[in-house]
Amino acid sequence: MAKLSFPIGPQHPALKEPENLRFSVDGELVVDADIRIGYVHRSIERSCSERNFVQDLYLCERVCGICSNAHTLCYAMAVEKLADVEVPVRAQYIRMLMHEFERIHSHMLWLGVAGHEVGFESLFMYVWRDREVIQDILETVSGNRGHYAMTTLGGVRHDITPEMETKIREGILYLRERAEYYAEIVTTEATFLKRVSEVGVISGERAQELGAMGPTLRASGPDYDVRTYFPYLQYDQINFSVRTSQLCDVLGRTLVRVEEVIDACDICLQVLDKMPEGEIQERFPRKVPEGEAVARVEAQRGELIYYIRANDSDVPQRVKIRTPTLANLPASLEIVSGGYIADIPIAFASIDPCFSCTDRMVVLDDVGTGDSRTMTWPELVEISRNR
Amino acid sequence: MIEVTAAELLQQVQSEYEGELTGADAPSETDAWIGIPPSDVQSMAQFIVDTWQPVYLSTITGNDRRDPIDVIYHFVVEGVSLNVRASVPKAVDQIDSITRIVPAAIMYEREVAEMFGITMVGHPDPRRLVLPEDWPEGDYPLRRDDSGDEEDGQDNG
Repeated sequence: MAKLSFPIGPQHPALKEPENLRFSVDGELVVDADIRIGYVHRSIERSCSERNFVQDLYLCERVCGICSNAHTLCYAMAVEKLADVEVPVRAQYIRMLMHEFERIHSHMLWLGVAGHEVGFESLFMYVWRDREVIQDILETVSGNRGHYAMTTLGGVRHDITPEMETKIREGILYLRERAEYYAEIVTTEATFLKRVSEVGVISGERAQELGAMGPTLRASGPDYDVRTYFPYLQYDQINFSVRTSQLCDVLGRTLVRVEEVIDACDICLQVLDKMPEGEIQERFPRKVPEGEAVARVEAQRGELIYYIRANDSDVPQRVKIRTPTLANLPASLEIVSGGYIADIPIAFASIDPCFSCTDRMVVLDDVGTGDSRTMTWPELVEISRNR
Repeated sequence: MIEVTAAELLQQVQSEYEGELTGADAPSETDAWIGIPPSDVQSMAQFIVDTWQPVYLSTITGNDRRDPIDVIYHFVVEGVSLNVRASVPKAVDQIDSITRIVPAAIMYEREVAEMFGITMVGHPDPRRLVLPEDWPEGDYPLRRDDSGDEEDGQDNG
């Protein structure tokens, strides 16, 4: 039978973000997949080398709306390494707390979406209702439900007060209990299992070879987690295990994420127990000495890496960002290949893709009419300057 | 999780790798930096894949330092961040693709190619990554010379 090729997108089959997928199908089976990204390219890396180090912190936060804290954290870690500034221990614990809060909210968001994709709407509603608890905690601590702006160069911007701590403990204990309930649901509910078990399979060896990161990689066996490989902040003081699964399918990825929510709750409680008193900010110089630094953090979707080169001024010469979704893309194409057309949304969503992150960098595409119009770089610069 | 320190890893590279090294530095326990001539990038990638398992390629950074353009491969091996720098002179403007040796490089090489105008020789899929199909030929957003946007970039560094 002749192979048929069809496009999906630029609206994502599962999440509300733009990219264009092309599938070759043989009957109901997907035999090949290709992806076209760049619809939300915003030139962030270039813009970073035109702004000073403090302004870049706010720019990097806007690379992604879901993992915004991981971006500022990674950026700040790289700049602090260059400027040789030691962050106060209390600030490091608060950063960890925010890092884990974000992991909880992001994994719960994903679990809800996964429930929606497989037609399990009550899971979606339950999970998203419970996710409000962590959103309230985030708002209590930072003042915002998204783009928390907690990290600053040399520390964090807000301290944790005893009242906050009480509220955090209450919320986290509730969430832990709920996460355990969801772990039970996703492993026992037949309607869910039938849609995710042995769907979107990729072997551990292949996932590692293709550079997959985070839960996508760990659900196939390898245990690469930046928190244990390169313990940053105070992760070496905390007891936690890296969650892996040998299932290699969407169920494996779901389990790894749900278990990571339980772990993140435990980490938060440990952090609150161990957090010492003290300063939360260290003075930070305006100029950063010449040099280059690489920083990695384990964002919820996988390893996030920043490369920054400074040249003894207040503006970085180069900021390079590699987000986890870009690392997971080659693997994701393999994940959907070999499966059924009906499984495309959940299989593709199982890497928890985020295209704002991936594109980062500028195109005006009139999707409605199919016309695409490209602006030249000088034109764009002109527009941005005249705003 | 430290299996070997960066300094030990560098020693192993220096004693076992047969090609030329233009630099070797271990600024911390987990950070190792080595420099290689751009023509040796395939043999270095092959050496890394043959010597250690598993090998994670975190990303490839391009950085236009006027001349040359730095292409930095960020590997993770044995719990050490191994950064391999190949400086490509603008007169050469090309480097061998390592995608056939390290499949994870496929997207990262496309990104460096479209942003800096470096040809990845032997890349299996040399299309653009994020720029649109009708982006003008020979216009590279992160390149700092006539083909990029001169007045807009900073002149230092």
